[in-house]
Amino acid sequence: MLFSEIIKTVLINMRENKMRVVLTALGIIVGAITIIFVLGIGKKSTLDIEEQYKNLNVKMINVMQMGGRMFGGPSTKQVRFSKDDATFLMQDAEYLDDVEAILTENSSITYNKETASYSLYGVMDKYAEMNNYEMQYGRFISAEDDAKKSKVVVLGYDTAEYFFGENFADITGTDITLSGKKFEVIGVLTRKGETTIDEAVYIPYETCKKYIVGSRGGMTRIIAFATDVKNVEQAKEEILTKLGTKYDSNTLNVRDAGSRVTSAIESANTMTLMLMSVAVIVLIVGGIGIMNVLLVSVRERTKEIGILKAIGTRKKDILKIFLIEAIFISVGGAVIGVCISLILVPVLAGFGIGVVNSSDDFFIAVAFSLITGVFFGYYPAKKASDLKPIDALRYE
Amino acid sequence: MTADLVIEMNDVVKTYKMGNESVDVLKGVSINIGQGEFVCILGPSGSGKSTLMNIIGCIDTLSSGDYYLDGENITTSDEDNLTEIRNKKIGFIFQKFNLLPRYDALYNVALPLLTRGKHFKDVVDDAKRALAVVGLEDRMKHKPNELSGGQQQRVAIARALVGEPELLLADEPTGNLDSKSGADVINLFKELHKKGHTIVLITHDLNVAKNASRIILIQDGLISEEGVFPNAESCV
Ligand SMILES: Nc1ncnc2c1ncn2[C@@H]1O[C@H](COP(=O)(O)OP(=O)(O)OP(=O)(O)O)[C@@H](O)[C@H]1O
Ligand SMILES: [Mg+2]
Repeated sequence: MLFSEIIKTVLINMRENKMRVVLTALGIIVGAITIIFVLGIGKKSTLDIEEQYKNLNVKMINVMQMGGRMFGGPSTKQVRFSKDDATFLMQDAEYLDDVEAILTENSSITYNKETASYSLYGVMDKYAEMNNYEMQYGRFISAEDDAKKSKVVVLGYDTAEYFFGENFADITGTDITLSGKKFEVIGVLTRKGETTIDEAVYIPYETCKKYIVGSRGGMTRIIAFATDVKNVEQAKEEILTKLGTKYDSNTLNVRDAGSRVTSAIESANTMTLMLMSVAVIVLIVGGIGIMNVLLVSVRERTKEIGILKAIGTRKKDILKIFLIEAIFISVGGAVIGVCISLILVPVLAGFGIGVVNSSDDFFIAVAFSLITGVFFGYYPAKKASDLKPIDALRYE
Repeated sequence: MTADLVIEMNDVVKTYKMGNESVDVLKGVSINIGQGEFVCILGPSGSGKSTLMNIIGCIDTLSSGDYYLDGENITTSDEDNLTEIRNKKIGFIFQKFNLLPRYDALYNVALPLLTRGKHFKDVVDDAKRALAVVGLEDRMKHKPNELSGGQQQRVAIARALVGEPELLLADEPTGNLDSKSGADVINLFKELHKKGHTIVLITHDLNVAKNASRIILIQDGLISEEGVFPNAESCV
């Protein structure tokens, strides 16, 4: 039979059994919606993670010292990082773009009789650039500031806002007091939306060492940047090897920022995969529904199949008639599922359930439904086409 | 003579296996039917008439013996070949009409041609012509349940005719009809015979058999008598 005539036959059959077609399609509709939502939720959580870590430079590697303090031992035994280590790491560095030494302190800031406590970072000149910080006003700390141990300060946005009020004007040149010493504001960072950055102040490393931490020495952290995302592992290796010559390598902890994102995305993917298997199970149940209905249909139409065979309808045409019916039901169900999803997504968004779908997801849902239809439709169709004409005709 | 034989059956046996018992329903039937004959098969219930007819119509297969249809040995033909033979060479008419309930008369009649891979629009005229032969061109949009038994059987005859087969086979075509519509159907067969169709018809009814040019009597799976009915000549 011609394909168009087979389709016509199938459509006539489906029209005569509307209710059954709809009930069969229901399983597929639910399955398709599930797939679309699972993919959408998965995509949303990945996007959330990316958003959360978007300020993170994935080339960044944190070098920390562990030991003494954690176990309450005497800190005098501990050899602390210093700015020299940064210079040392950069010597003949193969995979390192830059190494920053940072002194972290808490500092009381006073301006206009107002005093508050903020995190204070003693940083080197490339710190802002490496972290993609942008300037709202003024400039960042320069190498010269560091070398001269100038008493200059760059304010995080929220810090500036606290002292100078909302929508503060360019405040560069103003003097403020840090831990009792007068500093000149040379710049303000653009707001990042992260408190650790926005609620802080930045001064030159050497200045911090000299005027803030003084003889206590302070805690120096080292942050390195790999030459390329692909080289992060080699860079970590390089740091460990080099610092291992100066420090007990057991106390060194080297962690890259990228691995945090990666593991977050991985766990989101695992979640998606789990949800996806639920969706697949729903579809399989839908598929079994199709098979069930088609098997009943083959039995109901046994006599008809016998008549078709008696007038010489080929096996493969009978197979096609049943298989195409299964495909129509499954693809039709999937398309209805896609339409329902399109309506449901904004509704769910209204309830705060984030689902982000791309056209791929709809395609995947239809494709999966099609596969289900073919897979579960084949057996009944084969069964119908393999009937012997005499047996089919005798069936009542 | 042999060249004109449409059916040539030699010693056909049909055995049904029921559990570990086997029953011979046909016990060695040999028949020759020539081009243009109108043959009636007569016999008591359960004698094997339908079994024989189904084998002739390639709906069923024989257990042993030979079967030549239109000169071709189809004793061991596979299902695909038999399917094609059913479509091209045989028009089968059943006691219970066996129309497809969901399609109208026209589509039912067109089906054997659609099966050959043709477009409906290319065969619709042939289907209408076949319906005209059985006098039902004005009922072509009716579905089977909107037609009387006699009309349904005439649609079935139109379906059997539409593919211009070598052979028309009818298994008790009047069995489910009242005497008036039965007579109409028999008259139709007589006309078709006059036009040159080869017809094999099963019946219980001797009055129907009178119309045939030859009668084959089957009893208990064997041909017990065979002969040219005296009245047959006058019918031709
Ligand atoms: N599928 C089958 N399995 C077993 N036995 C069968 C089968 N089909 C038919 N028979 C037996 O074969 C015999 C002949 O049956 P058949 O239908 O050919 O008779 P018939 O002459 O057409 O009878 P009727 O005039 O009542 O239609 C019967 O005894 C029947 O029980
Ligand atoms: Mg019978």
